[in-house]
Order: sequence, then C-alpha cells, then structure tokens
Amino acid sequence: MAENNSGKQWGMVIDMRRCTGCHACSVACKSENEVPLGDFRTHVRYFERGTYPQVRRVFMPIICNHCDDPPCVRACPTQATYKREDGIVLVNDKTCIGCRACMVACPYGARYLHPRTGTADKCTYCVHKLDEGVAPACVNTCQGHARIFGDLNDPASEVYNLIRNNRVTVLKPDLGTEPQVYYISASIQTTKSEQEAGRGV
Amino acid sequence: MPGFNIPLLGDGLKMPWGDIRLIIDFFLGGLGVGAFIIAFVARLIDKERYQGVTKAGAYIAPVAVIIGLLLLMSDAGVPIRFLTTFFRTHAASATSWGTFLQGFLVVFLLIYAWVASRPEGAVSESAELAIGWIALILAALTAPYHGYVMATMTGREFWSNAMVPTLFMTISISTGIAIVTIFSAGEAPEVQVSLGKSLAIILGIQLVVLITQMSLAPTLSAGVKAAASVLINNVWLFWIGILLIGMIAPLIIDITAVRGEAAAATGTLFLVSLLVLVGGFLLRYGIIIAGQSTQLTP
Repeated sequence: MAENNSGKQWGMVIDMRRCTGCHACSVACKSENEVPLGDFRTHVRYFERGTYPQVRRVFMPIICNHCDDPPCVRACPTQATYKREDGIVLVNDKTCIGCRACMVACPYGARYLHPRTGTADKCTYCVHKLDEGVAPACVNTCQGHARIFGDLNDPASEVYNLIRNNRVTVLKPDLGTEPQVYYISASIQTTKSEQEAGRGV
Repeated sequence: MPGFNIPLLGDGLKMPWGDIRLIIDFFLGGLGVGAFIIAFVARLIDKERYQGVTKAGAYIAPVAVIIGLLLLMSDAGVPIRFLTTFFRTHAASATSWGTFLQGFLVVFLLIYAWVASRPEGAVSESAELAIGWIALILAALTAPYHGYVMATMTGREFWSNAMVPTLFMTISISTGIAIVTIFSAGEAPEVQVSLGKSLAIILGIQLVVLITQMSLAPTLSAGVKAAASVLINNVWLFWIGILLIGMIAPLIIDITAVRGEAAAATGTLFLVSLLVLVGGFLLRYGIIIAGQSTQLTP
C-alpha cells in the first residue's frame, strides 16, 4: 500500500466463506484503537434465521461501510464527520460536539459516542497505520483471511478482483448509501420474524 | 451510554437519541413554539379579548424553548462546543439549519416577551406586530422541525416520511394550546372555550395523522412495520397513554365541554389540557424510541 492516496478508493471485502466468527477482528480493533468496553468499531453480530423447527444461527461481521454517499456526513452539523478523497469517512474529534446526529443517521449502527472524549467514534480503517502503508488491524489479524482490504480502483488489487469474480452484496443497498464494504456469501436477508421482533442483533 | 435513558421500548438496544433530556427538549421546544403560535394568532384575531392569552403564550414560549435547548446542550457529548455550530455550518445538515432557526427564534421570542411585559403604548403597535410576525414565522418553521430532522435520517424508515414532521407540528400546537389554556385559567370563560375549540380541532387532526401513520405501517417496508409494532405492542404506552389518555379522552371531554355552558367548561378544559400535555410527551417519546428500535438489523 502506498502513502500517496490520490485516485484510490479504499474498500473491504468480507468473505463469509472464510469467516469463522472468532471475534479476533473485534479484539484486534479494540486493542489497536483503544475502543472502550461495551463499544465496538467492528464486531460480529448474531442472528437467528427461520422459524421453528427450521432454525439456525448465523453471524455477520459489521464495520463502518465508509459509504460513497455517507448519511453521517450529511447529518453532521459541524462538518466534523467528513469523507477523504480516498473514500475513508472520519470524525474530527476536535470539532465534533457529540450531538449524535451521525449515530442516528447511520443505518448500520457503526458509530458510538466515546465515553472519554464525548465525541462520535467509528472505524477509520486504522488510518494511522494505513497512511504508513500498513493494513487495518482487523485485516492483519484475521486468521481465515476473510477480511481483504485494498484499493477498489486498482485492477491489480485482490479486492477489485474478488468483487468482479464473485457474487457480492452490500448492507441495505436500497438506501443508496453505496457502502464500500462488500460481502461474499453473506446471509444478509433478514427474516420476517426478526423484523417483527424489532431487533436483529 | 451515560445519561438518562428510559428504555420502556426497544430495551437492550443502544439508542443514540434515547436520553430523556433530548426527548424533553423536543417536547418543550414544540410546546413553546405552539404556545407562541396560538398566542400571537389570538392577538391578531382580537387583541383586546385575547390579551391574557397573548401574554401567557409570550412568556411561556421563550422559557420552554430555552429550558429545552439547555437540556439538549447538556445531553451533547461536548456541551461546551455547542455554540460552535454557529460558526462551523453545514448546509446539508438539517441540524445545522436548526441551530440558526432556533437561535433566531429565541432572540425574537425574548424580544416579544419583553414587548408583552411593557405597558400598553410603550412599544408602537407596528413594531410589536413586526416582531410578532417574525417570531410567528420562526415558530411555524420550528414546530415541525424536530420531526423534519428525524425524517432526514437515512435508514430510520419509521421516521422517513412526511407524516412525522406533520405529526410533530400538530403535537407542538396542541401542547402549546394546552399550556396556554392552563395559564389562562383566570381568563373569561368565553376565551377559554375558544381555546378549547382550537384544541379540539388540532387534536382531531393529530389523531387522524397518527392513525394514518400507524395504519399505513403494515403496508410499507419491513423496517416501518417493525418499528410500528414496537409501539403498538406496548399497550400501556400506546393504547392507554397516547391514544386513550392523551388524545381520545381529552378530545371527547373537550368537545362535550365547549358545546355546553361556557362558565362550566373552564375547570374541564384545565383537565383536558393536562391530559393533552401528557399525551403529547408520550407520543413524542414513543415515535422517537420506536424509530430507533430496529435500525441495527441489516
């Protein structure tokens, strides 16, 4: 990964065929970014699918989608949440007032209010490492190589080829937020019973 | 999340806007602008007859709005930075517009309250009217504002429609009339009956909007249906608190009272107003919480 990010569009592919739901990504992220107890920048959510007796439990790693049209950026009254040219959505904790508008606007529940700073916090793709040419902590730690990170604009990148050679999906595509995190073989469609239960996680 | 969350609905979920202070701000802000709207409209209709109503609304409005805004500021993660929203603007953010809208609103409400406190003739009528009209426009824009902000939140399907701002506007006006009625208890019975009639009309509209919103929910997306179910399945909150105590009972009592003898209606209208305030608060709470109760489902 180069330090010059011009023309790049960072993105991630999460290959559910390889993900075991081991939570190593969550732990690595927490360790790298000092994420407080009870909050997550990325974690693995569990769902129940089907109705009795045809019931199963599935899991899904969730992370900020670094949307191409991010609703959190639109919602922020002070422009503390912004999108870099390389597609990474960040929060400036010097100007965030902690109004939580971005948290309400995010359809993916990818944000939390940091109890120490009082500002919104979320996945940054470990931008402090990325700008040094190192991949995000969750990607480096994934034992099954289920998280693949790279430049979505680079035809030579693994993410570029995975997206073109596999059936991929994104979370809530109908909202038009254009997420930049793609899933392979994800069981995303929620069942009627989950929706009616008022929760899915 | 630190603060004062009241998870009567959607327990187990972290709700960004679940703190009671924010919900009180939405309630008091709406109540304040509603009080001003009814007060100034009454003043435009008959200045002499509704003098007491105008004064009540003029005093209640800035107090309610300012208390609400202070609570909102205290709910922010970094309250001290709240004023930076005036300098770090963002045209795409409805919250950013709201900063200016409510900022100007408070200024004009305070000026109008000061004018209302002056003796007759101390401020020219044209100046008083000009200030009142500006405040009225700002109040009319603020009445649906919280609902509008909620409607702009992508992915909160229950909120993302024109019904929510409309409903919030009706709650603003109904609770505004209710609080003015309570503080106009010493006014002539005919004046109170006029307020009672206004309240019945807006309460009827509020009921129609709410029923439309809730009855359409099953025909809309799964997210809307799920959020509506969270609300509807809470018998105490929705059916008893919001619908029965907060809307249907006061509407029936109100209509009965204003159709009878004016002098006998005053005490009844006081009770009706209290019920409307309770219902207005619970309805705002229910809509705010229900809309956040399903968002994490991918």
